[in-house]
Amino acid sequence: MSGDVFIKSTKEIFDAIVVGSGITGGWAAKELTERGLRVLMVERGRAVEHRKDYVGEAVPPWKLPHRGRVDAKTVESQHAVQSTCYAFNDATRHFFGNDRDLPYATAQGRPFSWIRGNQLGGKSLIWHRQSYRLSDLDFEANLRDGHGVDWPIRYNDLKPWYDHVERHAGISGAMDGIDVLPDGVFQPPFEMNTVEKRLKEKIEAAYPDIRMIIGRCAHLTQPTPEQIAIGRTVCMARNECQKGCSFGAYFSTQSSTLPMALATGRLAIATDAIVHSVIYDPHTNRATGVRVIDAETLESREYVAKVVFLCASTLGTTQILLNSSSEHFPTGLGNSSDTLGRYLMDHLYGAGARGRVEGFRDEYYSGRRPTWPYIPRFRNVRERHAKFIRGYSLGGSGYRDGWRSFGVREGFGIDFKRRIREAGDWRFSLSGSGEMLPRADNTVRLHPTLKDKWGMPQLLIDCSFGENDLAMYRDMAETSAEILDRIGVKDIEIERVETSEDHPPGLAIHEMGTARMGRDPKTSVLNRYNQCHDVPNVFVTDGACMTSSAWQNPSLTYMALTARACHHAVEQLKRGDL
Amino acid sequence: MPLATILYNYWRICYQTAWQGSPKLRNRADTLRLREFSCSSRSTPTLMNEPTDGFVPDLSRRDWIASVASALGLSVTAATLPMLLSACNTPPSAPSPAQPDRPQPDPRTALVEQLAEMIIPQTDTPGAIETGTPAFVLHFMRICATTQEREKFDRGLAKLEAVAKTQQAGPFTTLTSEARTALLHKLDRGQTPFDAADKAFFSLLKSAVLLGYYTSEAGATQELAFLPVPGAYRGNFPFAQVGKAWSLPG
Ligand SMILES: Cc1cc2nc3c(=O)[nH]c(=O)nc-3n(C[C@H](O)[C@H](O)[C@H](O)COP(=O)(O)OP(=O)(O)OC[C@H]3O[C@@H](n4cnc5c(N)ncnc54)[C@H](O)[C@@H]3O)c2cc1C
Repeated sequence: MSGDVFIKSTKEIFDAIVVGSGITGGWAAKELTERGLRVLMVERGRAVEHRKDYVGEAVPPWKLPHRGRVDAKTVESQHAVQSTCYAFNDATRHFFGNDRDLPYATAQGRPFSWIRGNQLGGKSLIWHRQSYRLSDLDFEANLRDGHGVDWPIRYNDLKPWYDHVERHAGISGAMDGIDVLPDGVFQPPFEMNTVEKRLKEKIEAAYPDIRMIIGRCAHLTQPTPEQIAIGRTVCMARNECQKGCSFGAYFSTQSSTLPMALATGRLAIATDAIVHSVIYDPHTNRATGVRVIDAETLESREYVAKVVFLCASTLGTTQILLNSSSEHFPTGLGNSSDTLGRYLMDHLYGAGARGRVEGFRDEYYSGRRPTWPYIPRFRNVRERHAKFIRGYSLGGSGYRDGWRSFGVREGFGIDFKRRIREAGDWRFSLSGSGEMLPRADNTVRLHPTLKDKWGMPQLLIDCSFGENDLAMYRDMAETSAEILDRIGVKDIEIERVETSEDHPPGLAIHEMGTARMGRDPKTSVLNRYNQCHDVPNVFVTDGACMTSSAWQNPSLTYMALTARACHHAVEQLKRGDL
Repeated sequence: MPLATILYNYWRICYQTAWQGSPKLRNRADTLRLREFSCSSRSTPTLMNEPTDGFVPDLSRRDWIASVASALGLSVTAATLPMLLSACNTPPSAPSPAQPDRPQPDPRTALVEQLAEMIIPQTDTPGAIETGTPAFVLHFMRICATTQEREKFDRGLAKLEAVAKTQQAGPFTTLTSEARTALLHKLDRGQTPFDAADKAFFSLLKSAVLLGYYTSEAGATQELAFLPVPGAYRGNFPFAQVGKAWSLPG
């Protein structure tokens, strides 16, 4: 990145401002610059340069002072929430938000875990890269059962954009021909190991409605010439991705969208610039730019553009919109419908079961696969479940116990050491990812008094699981255990989620829905092109736009929606409509 | 040669340089370990971040970056290389002056050494003591463990000593090897005079010993099989082909 890309103050009037540089901000910058626009990307965090700043990468474990653990004092004082994320460790923690500097409040007795990545690249550096399409089962769900409003789009509206983003990002997967999980543009899939293949046969024989496939993920297994040209190469199966990957083998802003945007010569970047609010001109009913706070000096600055794309992550964007109040929009920009900050959803994670698989002692695997087997949704597809609506997927994994599991096994001494060397028993686990219903009283607002150290009002999150969510959680745990039992897995342990304390909402890191898309400006914030009903030159393309959560990992859908919205914005700009 | 193989070889070379690095470098890393660093590369004058205890960016990463870059055929020109490497040269930002010097030698060192070596003894490969695992366990309990874990650890060690004293006038380390082993078996199973809480303590101790040992250089690379850059995932791989478990988690 050359020096003049990074700016601080400027008088320039940009075609577009993109707030945020994570998965959606990176896509917006790429699409808009490639379509000829001069774009300013505004990011609250520091600059992170591909390869150079992956300081935890390629450091062998014995070189880490705490062998990967983070010291308790730092965890307590700065990462109390972030440290509950499985991917948080000493080699990745610099890519997680700082809970002391970025405080938020939750309603009494209703925990919410807000996991963040606040730097150039956002959470694209630390995501797990599972990538799935939604289908019309999902786009029609709200209409069918009356929860939430109808999505203003259907699968066919998004299909070409899924194709578009998959081709660039690089998704590995198999053509499985499953209705509820449309196939896409795939690079070769990762393989299942011997035990997984055997259990797949057993599961599919026992349950005609269930298919077990290999998880689709944003990893290159057969890079295209375009991907090679920007320095990306084939995945090395290290599965240490969250430290950053110098091979550029997984999709991140740094590996993928940023080099494309920079190559156009039309991108400027302002880092350490916290967007405080969107500036609104009531005379034209347009946004004119954004007001930012300099993260280091606390100075206030303004950036000016014809179009504003908010890609600051679901809650980040919602915070900005709520904070952009004016005489015209007293409760937040674009909030004439009173739906801004409502219908907060996450996914239902954390429930499942696991057990021991007998035999296969001569079988092993080599390499650390960055994905795992996956059972797409089977509940409420053909038959109706008596206890809940919608459904969930199950992620599975077959593996041999490693040394980490032996702390709780009996034994010590020479024999114990030998047992570890010989690799432990095979295990197989299933773990759910379920759809959470949109509910108006799951909200995020600005805290009336509390502010962060930059003077931004803190978010106050009030979110809990509903009856349907908890009923689905029960079924996930019980059905996982039942499947394992049926295929002969032994010593089954069930993992249940019965309250928010067991697995707080937010911890699935798929928070979404707080500025939803819809057909009617009276009941939604955004139209079918992610464009604010109230203020047409403001677009929101991160998870805030989601009308329902579906059960799939959402980021691929955010990417497709972003690319589609960018295309639409450029058309409208050209026509002079914005 | 396929690209993957080229990269793999590059990586192996880099890794070897990383861990065979000069003793001076290693000592430096050892001393630096105990200090505190701010992880962010920028200082924030008006909004000072407290320094945090983090690891030291490994100087050998510069070789690694350069070789990956060249293996990928990136145009590493005289102009871009220094930029690419600058991060590796940046010394960690100001160490905190507040951090006390090395702590007093822990009076429980002999006991923890004894226990750690009983859990992972020396065989054809080094055991816990030779790999510095006991010191790591104490470090871990002091620096990384939660208050709850630390209390469990302290209570468990004290109880073990108390039980040893009822058997003989001296501490655990002075028991005969048979008596020590017998007592540890009881602790491992939570049998009288031990209980479930003591068994949980032993699990905690074992977990810390395993962490220290299998992430040590000898534990990770000699006792188990170390494959930092597999190159690909193979799901159909006979155990006999490697003959021992992988050390990096799968
Ligand atoms: C450990 C982990 C695993 C995950 N696994 C998966 C997975 O397998 N599949 C999947 O689909 N998703 C996964 N996710 C979720 C995925 O990371 C997010 O859905 C995705 O990153 C959202 O993209 P985004 O652009 O909306 O937000 P982000 O990527 O979070 O980027 C938002 C950016 O905006 C910046 N920002 C925020 N507020 C402001 C402001 N006021 N001013 C300026 N900038 C601001 C932030 O600093 C950040 O850089 C995972 C996440 C984590 C952490």
